[in-house]
Amino acid sequence: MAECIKWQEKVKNYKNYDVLSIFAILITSYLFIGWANTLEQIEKKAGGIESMSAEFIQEKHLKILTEPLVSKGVFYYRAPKSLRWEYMSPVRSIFLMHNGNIKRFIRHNGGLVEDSSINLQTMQMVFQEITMWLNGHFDDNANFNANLKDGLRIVLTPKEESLSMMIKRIELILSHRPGIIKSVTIYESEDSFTNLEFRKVRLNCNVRESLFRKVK
Amino acid sequence: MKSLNLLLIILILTISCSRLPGLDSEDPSKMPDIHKRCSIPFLNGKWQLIHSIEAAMPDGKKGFVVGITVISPQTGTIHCVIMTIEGLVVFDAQYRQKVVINRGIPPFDSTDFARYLMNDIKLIFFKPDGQLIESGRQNNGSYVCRYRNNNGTIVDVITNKDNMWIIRQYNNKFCLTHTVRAYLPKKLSVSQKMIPRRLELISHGPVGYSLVLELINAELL
Repeated sequence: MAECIKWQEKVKNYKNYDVLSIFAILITSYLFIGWANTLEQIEKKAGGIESMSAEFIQEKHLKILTEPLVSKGVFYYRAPKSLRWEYMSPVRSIFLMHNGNIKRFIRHNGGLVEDSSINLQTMQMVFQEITMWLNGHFDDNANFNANLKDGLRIVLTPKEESLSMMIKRIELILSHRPGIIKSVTIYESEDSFTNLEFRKVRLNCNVRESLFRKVK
Repeated sequence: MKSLNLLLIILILTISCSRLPGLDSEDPSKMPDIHKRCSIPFLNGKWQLIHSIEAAMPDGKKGFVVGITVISPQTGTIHCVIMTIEGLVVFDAQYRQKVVINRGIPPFDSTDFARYLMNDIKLIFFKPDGQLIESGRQNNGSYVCRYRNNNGTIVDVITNKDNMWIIRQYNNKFCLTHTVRAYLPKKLSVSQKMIPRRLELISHGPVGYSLVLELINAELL
């Protein structure tokens, strides 16, 4: 099993800065920026990722809201296409994608019940996109055109007009750490967008297969 | 044979419909208090409400969404946004005497859906449009205010002594069409005063549905 990397702990180690450590940070940052010079490089670097887990904070911005609606959760990913996307608050829900099967469970009356609603198809598309990004696949995407901007930002725009009615564009901010996406912003319009910030990212950890099959 | 089946269906629907109950008369001196109680379910001022919503459809399927509603009973306006749990907006519409759909992703794009939804929101949060025609008590002791709208529909606003309330809507044939049940928070805060923590709406009939709304946040704007 590959070594588990807890990125958050690595960041904590830079608390006591001195000239040497600042220099080291600048050098390593420069090297890490180099991972995202082209989409091909990103795909190559992300290709070594077998599994990933992270916490996320989601902010929904809407004109109707006085303040963004904040949701918190965690996700687990295993190559090539297994994903568990779990919201802890304000509404606990779990989205599972594994071996071509997709399910969603919602907390209801103290337990978790399966959501059989029709809007699952749209979310299936969104989560399939997420697994592609985690794989580093941006430019061979059937739904979006990808453009790498200023080294660390990827802008995805829909290829089809029907999709652009729902999503105008998606912006991904890459971390300096190869293979890691720092944030995702999904724009439905200029005043309606969803921002996801990732933290406590772990690469190539022991992500159990049962996480993608069972909700508990 | 077909007409016999149709007749049977009509007969079953007619028999199975819950009818408008009679009310026990109440001491006239208590009427002002009853009328005051009947205004408890309806909001004053402009509110932003966020709910998680469970929708049960006639085919037995259940769906879950998040609803954001800004309502102002005084101006009679509603702005409603429905999104998936993950934050994808599937419906955005406003009501000010007529419904305007800003965004609708199928199947949330039909004007019928928007109209029914706005009617449900009005039934839950707006004081009935029509005349107060009767007040009194039910067999179980709950107080009732009965309103008749211009289109002949009847709305009963029923308040219990613990401030839990029920709203029942009947069509112009006096058949029950909608029931709303509201449950208040166990601990009331100022901002949550009289905002139910849980609301249940049942649309009765052969193509009935039900909605369960759990309050996430309420804010007086």
